Order: sequence, then structure tokens, then C-alpha cells
Amino acid sequence: MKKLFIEFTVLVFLFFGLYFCLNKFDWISITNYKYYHEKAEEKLGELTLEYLIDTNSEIETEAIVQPLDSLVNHLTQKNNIKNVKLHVIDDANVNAFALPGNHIILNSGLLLDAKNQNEILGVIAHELAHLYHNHTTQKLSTELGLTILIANNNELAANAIKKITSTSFDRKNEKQADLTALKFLEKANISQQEFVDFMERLSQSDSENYLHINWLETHPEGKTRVAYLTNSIKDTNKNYQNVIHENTFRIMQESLKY
Amino acid sequence: MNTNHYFTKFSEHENEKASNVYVMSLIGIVAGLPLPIVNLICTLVFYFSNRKSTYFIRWNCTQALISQFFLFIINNTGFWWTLSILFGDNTITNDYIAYLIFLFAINVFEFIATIYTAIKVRKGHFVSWFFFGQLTSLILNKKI
Repeated sequence: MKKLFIEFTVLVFLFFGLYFCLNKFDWISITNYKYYHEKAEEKLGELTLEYLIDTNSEIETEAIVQPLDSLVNHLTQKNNIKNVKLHVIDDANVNAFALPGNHIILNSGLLLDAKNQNEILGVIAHELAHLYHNHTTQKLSTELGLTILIANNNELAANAIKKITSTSFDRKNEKQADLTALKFLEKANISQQEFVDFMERLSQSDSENYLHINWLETHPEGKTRVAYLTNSIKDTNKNYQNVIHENTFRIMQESLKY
Repeated sequence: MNTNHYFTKFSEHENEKASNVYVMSLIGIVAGLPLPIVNLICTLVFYFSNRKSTYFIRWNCTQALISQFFLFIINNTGFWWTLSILFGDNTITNDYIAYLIFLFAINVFEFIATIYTAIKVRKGHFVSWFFFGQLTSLILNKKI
């Protein structure tokens, strides 16, 4: 019994000793993890962007891109965010998304649907929030991790699990992005109400089926979203200003129609 | 490891069966990757199926099972830590990389030890692992 206890103690010391010795090294620097992580992010973003542009053409008209660049620059400068690249895609869907490598994509459908520049600023702020919280890389590593973990097993189960966990993960991130977007707008002295109004308008176009399959959807259900956004708006009586002239905004929308 | 020479003590059948438990745990590790529980389940199944066997076979089954259990705890920690990074809010840190290297080293050592033991036991040797052999003897209540 005594010998057993001694051997157990030696084993525990060996295990912990090995771990603590290994812990003394700066593996993050040795493996150059940060450098490769950033490079991988950039490459991932470029690949995804290439695919998107191949599927739907990128709009590069000055009258459309320049005002949007002004909106993005205003938000990024006020919130000290750097190296954001904006792309406008010719796609009728009302959608926008962020890609690794600091890319923001706005669909032409969304730009046409917006009633004013503040609605677009709200959406841009939301996508900036995704980049700020590194959601895009997290999501991609989750999908990749799941593929590796369950690739050898039943393909159907694997796809179902991926979908379910992916959408739950997205909803948590979407809420975080929404709330951070409000902070970004506030810091840039932009009215937050229009962003909430835009979300409300989108939620009203949700079909009845949405209520039943909410758990599987990537974004929080419309009414839930509007509720927490409304509760989170700080001061609605501030003297907010436009970033670009309303005419410039209208010209941008008119240019999109052609 | 303590290897005693018992060539004439155990039959060929016993040697083979006792060696198979170590082979089974190796197969379990490889087949079950990255899940850490499969090799433990394989060893457990082998253990229960040999409960009425000779002492030599039971002893080796118990030693393999106990060592696999300890390995399971270490691997399981790494498994859930990895999941928390992939799906949760954790990020890759120095501690994590150090633990992965530690995990890899332990598993490689265990792999080599299992192969060595499987070969030795097949030849009729009695291989008692450091600490695990003593614990096995205590559990089975008999000295070697």
C-alpha cells in the first residue's frame, strides 16, 4: 500500500511536472500562431469574396461606392476600427455580411430597400460589430471543427448537427453584434432609431412559418430582436447629423436602379 | 515496467487472450479518434467478457482498463477544452497548446507501452506497469 502511494505520488508529480515545464514556453510565439491566424483569415476572406463576385458581379460605380465609403469611414474612424474594405454586390436580396479579412459586403437589394442613410449605417455598424468580435472566423472554425470531428460518422447526422449548432451559435453572435452596433452608432453620433425601424420593417415581412422554425434560423426572431434593440437605445433626443447629404444618398439609390 | 519470465506458467491461449486486451485498446484509440471514450469502452467490454477467465487474463484486463481510465480523464479534458475553443468563447492560448503537447506525449508513450506490453505478454511475460500494476494487484487482492 505504501509502495502504491509512493508510485502514485511520483506519477502525479511527473504528469504535472511535464505540463508545467511545457507551459513555460511561449508556444504562441514559437508556432507563430498569430501570424498564421491572420494570414489564414485574410486568405479565407479573399476566397469567399472571389466566390461571391463570381456569382454576382461587384458594383464599382463611383456614385454608388463613394457615398458608402464615406459612411463606412465615418463609422470606422469614430470607433477606431482600421482596414475595413467595403464591397457592393449586385444582388436583389436584402442582405449584408462580413467576411474574414475585414471585408463588408452590401447587397444592392439592401441599399435600395433602405429609406435613409441611417438605416444603411445601422447595417454597416452591425457588420462592423461582427468583425470587431471576430465572429466570422469563429463561425468558420466551428464549421470546420465539426466537419473534422464527425466526418467519419453518419453524413446525415453530421449535417444536421452542423446546422443546429451553427444556427444557435449565430443567434448568440447576432444579438451581440446588434448591441455593439448600437454602441458604434452612438459613438459616431448617429441616430440608432432608424436601425431599429429597419429591423422592424424586416420582421414584418417574416412569414408565419418563421415563428415555428425560429430555433433553426440564424438571426433572432424579428420581434425579439426589435424588443431588445428598442430596450437598448440610449438617448433618442440627441442632435444627430447626417454623414452624407440626402441628395447624395438618393442619387446613389437611383444609380443602383440602372 | 517489471517483466517477469513465466514462459511455462501460462498456456498459449492465455498469452494470446491477455495480449489481445492491449491490442483491443490500441484499436479502440485509433478507431475512436477524436472521441476519447471509445478505447475505454472497448477495454471495458473486453474486461467484462473475461471476468470468468484465468487470473493472468483478468489481471492484464484490469491493468489495461485502469490505465485506459486514467488516459480517458486526460484525453477528455483536452477534448472538452478543444470544443470550448471551437464552439464557446475560449481562444487558443499558451496553456492550451502546452496541454495539447502534453496530451500528445502521454498518448504516444502509452501507445508505445501498450505495443511493448502486448508483444511481451504474447510471449508469456508478465508485465507490471509502474503504479498501474500495483493498483491492479491490490484490486484483484493477490500479489505477483
